[in-house]
Amino acid sequence: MTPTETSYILLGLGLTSTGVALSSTSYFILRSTPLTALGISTIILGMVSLALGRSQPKIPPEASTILLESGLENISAIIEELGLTSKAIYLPSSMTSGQPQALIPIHQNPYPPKPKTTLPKRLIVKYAPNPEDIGLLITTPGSTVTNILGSKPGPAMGDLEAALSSVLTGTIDLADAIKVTMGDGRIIVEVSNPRLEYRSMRVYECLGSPIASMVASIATEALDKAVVIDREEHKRGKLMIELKVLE
Amino acid sequence: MLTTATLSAYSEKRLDLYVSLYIVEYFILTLLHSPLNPKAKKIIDITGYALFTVFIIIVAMKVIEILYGARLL
Repeated sequence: MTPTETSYILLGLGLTSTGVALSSTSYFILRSTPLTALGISTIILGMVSLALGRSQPKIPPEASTILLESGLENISAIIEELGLTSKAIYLPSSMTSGQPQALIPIHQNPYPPKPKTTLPKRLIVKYAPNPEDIGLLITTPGSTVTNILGSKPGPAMGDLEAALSSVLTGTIDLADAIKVTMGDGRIIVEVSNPRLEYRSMRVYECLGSPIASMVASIATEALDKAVVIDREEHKRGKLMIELKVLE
Repeated sequence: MLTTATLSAYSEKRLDLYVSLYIVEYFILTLLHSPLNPKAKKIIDITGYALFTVFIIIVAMKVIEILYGARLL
């Protein structure tokens, strides 16, 4: 148990027991309605504190940041070494070996061919018949975040928005609100107050920022179609992500 | 706390009124802060069920008081 979790639990137990003592004393002995009500409200606050104690993260946020950044630095080094400039194509789990992954083509192609068969579980894969259709198949932060979803989200706009909200604003709490708009083979996702700050890294130009990567992974899984992060824009506390669905 | 202070300033003696307002505030605040972490949601839900039961009991006692004129608490 982390110190913060222990503090909340102790606070919750203290408030609950104080509330029980106060309300019973006030009701049976003092015959005071306001003090009895105060005791009852203290019990409710105690229960909420206990709930907050259980919601504290097991791993400190600083440790999570270290793990995330070290992983991204490694991917960034590989991308720079190979001189990759293409945008990643996010593939659903039906096209890869079990989880959504990002395919970065080695050679830039404005109209990359869609893989026809399930790609093998390798770093360097051949995704189409032409000799130059080789790419890196990478597990991104978005690949693992889809495991948090209990079931595969539906392709409708409402289902996608609910899935994104459940993960990004609920479970991992990286944003305040999510809004999704779909149409013409494009998906626009508006993320309010993202908590991961955007940094100018080479890997972000290929894979998108970690939040954009998570959005693309969940979207590709929901639609069961390949998607590309076409545009990402940060302004005034909002992150606008535009995804292009590859038919 | 503000609810308690306000009602006691008006010398309110009905305990069921205090409790009813607490329950309404609890549901409003938990709804505004959803979706919650699954572990926290479990305790919030259990507390919510218990408070809702208390609310139903208060409403039932009021209905009995109105229909039969008998005051149970």
